Amino acid sequence: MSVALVVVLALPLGSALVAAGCPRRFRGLVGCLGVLGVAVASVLLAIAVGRSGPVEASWDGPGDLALVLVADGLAVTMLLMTAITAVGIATFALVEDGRGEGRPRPWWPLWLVLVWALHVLFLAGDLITVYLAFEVIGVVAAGLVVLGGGRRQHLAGMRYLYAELVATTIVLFGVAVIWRDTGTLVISQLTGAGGGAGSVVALALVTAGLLFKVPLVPVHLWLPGAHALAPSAVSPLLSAVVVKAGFVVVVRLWFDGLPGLITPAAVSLVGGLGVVAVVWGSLMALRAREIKVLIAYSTLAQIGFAVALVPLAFGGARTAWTGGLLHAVAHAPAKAAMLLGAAVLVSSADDPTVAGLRGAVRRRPLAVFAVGLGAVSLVGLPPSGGFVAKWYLVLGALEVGSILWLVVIAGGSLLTAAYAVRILSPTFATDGGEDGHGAVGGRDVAAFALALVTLLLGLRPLETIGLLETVAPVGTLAGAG
Amino acid sequence: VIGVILAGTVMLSGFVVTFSGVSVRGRLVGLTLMAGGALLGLSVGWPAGSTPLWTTLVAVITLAGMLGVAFHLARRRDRHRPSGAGSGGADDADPLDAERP
Repeated sequence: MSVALVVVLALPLGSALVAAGCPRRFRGLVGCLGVLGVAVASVLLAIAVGRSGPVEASWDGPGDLALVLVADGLAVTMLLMTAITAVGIATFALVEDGRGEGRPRPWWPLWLVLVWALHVLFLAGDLITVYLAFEVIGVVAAGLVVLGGGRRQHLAGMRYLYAELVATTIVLFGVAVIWRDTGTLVISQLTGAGGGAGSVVALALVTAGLLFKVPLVPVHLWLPGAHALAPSAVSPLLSAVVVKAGFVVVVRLWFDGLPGLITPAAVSLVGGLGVVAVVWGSLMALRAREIKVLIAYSTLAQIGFAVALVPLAFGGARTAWTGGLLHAVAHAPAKAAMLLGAAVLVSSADDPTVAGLRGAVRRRPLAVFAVGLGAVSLVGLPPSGGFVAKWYLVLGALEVGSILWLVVIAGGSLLTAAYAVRILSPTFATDGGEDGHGAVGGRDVAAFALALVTLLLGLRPLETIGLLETVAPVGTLAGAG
Repeated sequence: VIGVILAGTVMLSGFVVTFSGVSVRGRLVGLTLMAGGALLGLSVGWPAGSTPLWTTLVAVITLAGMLGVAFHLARRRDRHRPSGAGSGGADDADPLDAERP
């Protein structure tokens, strides 16, 4: 097994254990150093995979238990996305700790376990590993929301946990039926193992469970509360990274696992849900009063854009495959920058509503800049990562002649611009923000650094695109085309 | 096949109970039924000649842990509920509306 792969898996868990045992004042430092080490290991792993191809590892447990890990182009891209976003968020949390803002004792260990479970999930090469990683992600993420402390956070965390439990049990049942039908749970072996009518039902169940976790409309009701009410250094991880977990597994199963079982009706259904997510999420973001609720609904809308990958790539557009995945990746630092910047602005104004942003550019210019750059990427303006992703999606839509998706991408981007303006416009108001002129703190810098990552992704997209294209399901795309 | 169908029926009934339940307890019963159905499916849904012992065991432990957390949170919510609040449907309220005027 590659050393970098071991580090990527062992370091977050090791850091969590150390953070659980060390004095309170060192926990943030342990967390930061841990994710920084993971980021370095992720870069080294990505370089190794880019040069020599996928790295695989399997573990034969007792009896029938066997776990498979695969670090291919998609997995390492997701690892990089997670690690880089986590470094920004951990730095933000460390600065918060330094300001004496009380953090519950289990916060840092749980946060690091969440990062670890995400890594396991992105590397998972079999469905039992996927299931186990989802279990950990569900419990820990809901726990982190509840650690926000208030009654609203408790309600939101419980709702989140219920949704995760429903989704997880549906996934587990589907996994059992796939096993019965194909005799294997290793995703790359499912295609060869065939699969009959039972597998069709099972794939539908697993997909439904995963769409709960992504989530798409209409099973999204847990998302706005959980993402908006979670503590300020938890929301970005949920909105930027955790929502991608279900999406990546759907992509792997549909394109690598059992593409032969995917019917045009199923493709149209998922594509339709993506369209509804773009429209509904954007409209709800336009109506939201609180900044974090607005940004949470925007997550729903942005997931809809990534889902365009399914109908367009099954139509034969390879560019859409790249565009959808790149959109998922580019969304992460942009969304994290927006949420961290928003957290700074909310705490400086002591007002969680959009109205509280009046004059914020004079109070916290760098935080507003971070939110603005994040919004630029979500809208899809150059030179951001979001622009490159949408460019590829538009090329994909043109390739397969999908007028519907051209309209959805263009219209959805306009709606994104509209709710971005709702956030940014009041910050330039001249009748607010008379005190604390131009303050810049460590939290602002952390948010801004993540916003710069979105620009870097737009200016140097070829490395990421290269990694993603190594896992393009050539057979499926050619067959569809 | 009969075992899988039975497991599916248990899961479906759990799903219905979860989403029709107006009380937290009812919802937790529904989720437990769903978990039971999924585990039953896992224990019977194996190719002939296989022994599903360890994978099922791991699934039982993890699902029990998840349900345990859900029960714990529900108990904590009961403890902190304002006096005079009803027993049902409180967690159906949208948390985003919970403290708005």
